[in-house]
Amino acid sequence: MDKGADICIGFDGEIEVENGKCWSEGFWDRVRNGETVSDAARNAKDGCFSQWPTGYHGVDTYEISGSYNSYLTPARYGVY
Amino acid sequence: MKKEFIIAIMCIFVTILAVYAVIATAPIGVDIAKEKVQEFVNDPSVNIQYQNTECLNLGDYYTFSTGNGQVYVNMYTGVIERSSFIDARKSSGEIRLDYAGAEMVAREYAEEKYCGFADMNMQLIKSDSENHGDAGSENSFIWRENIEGVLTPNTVVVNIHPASGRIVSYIGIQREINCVLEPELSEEDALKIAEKQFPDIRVTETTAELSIEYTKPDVQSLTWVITMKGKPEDHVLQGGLVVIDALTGEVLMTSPYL
Repeated sequence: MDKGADICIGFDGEIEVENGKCWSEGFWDRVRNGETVSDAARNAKDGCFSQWPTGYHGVDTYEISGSYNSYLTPARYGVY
Repeated sequence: MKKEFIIAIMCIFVTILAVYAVIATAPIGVDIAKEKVQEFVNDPSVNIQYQNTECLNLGDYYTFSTGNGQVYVNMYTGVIERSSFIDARKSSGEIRLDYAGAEMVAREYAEEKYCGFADMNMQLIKSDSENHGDAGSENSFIWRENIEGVLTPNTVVVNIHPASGRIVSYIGIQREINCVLEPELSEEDALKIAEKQFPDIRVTETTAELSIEYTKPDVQSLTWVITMKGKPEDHVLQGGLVVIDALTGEVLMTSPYL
């Protein structure tokens, strides 16, 4: 955050490759489809629960700092 | 005459069975699924919109946006198997549940939404509080059915916002068990196989669970799900997750810690 980021997200628990990939794919897919960072993180977590092997396996330990209810929009030309 | 009558009856019976089989394996359709969502959220003012279909090993789903979250409807049974509620984080007068209160709310919700919850051997396998930093915290309760020491796919997850006392998200999976519950591979042998996946680590902690998993679409497999932690090297955690077929000993997944 002290480098100027509006939002930081990370994990407090142990994450392994498969569940990390599952969460990451779900998170970015949801952010791209218009969910807030907070909603995308939570829904991606629940999405991973239903993949095998059953359970959160650490993806429920995400932590967000900053504007958690923000949307991510791609950089574009022009004045907004 | 009597023979013809019997054949006619048999033909009718077979036709009824065939029609029933087609109905049972056909998707319920978006419109019926939408009605199921309406019943589940129990609020006529909610604007329910169909989003897409998702196919997982566990099942196929219609997904709907409710304006206040998302709902997953099983495409064949019409059961709501997953839902989230965005406004749960809005505190309504700072209820601030203690842990016992949160568990009671979660259990009541599970009993209301999950058919047969009280009659099944549902074991509370995880209950803790997760702090999501600025995004608040959740009290999380996970029940899984336990049959003769085997965890089945029958699962209920209820996440609660402790300040509002409202449900943040719900998962409820209910499946008939159609795989064997007796492993050919002992826990000890499964752990030996798992250790071979991480040959260079110094193991500090292991857990092993006998669990029925959908490792392929619609196929249940009896597995050993093993977590193996090793002593960190250069501050990097060693070990990971290993899933082993409990009948054949085949390693189905090796997933090291990041």
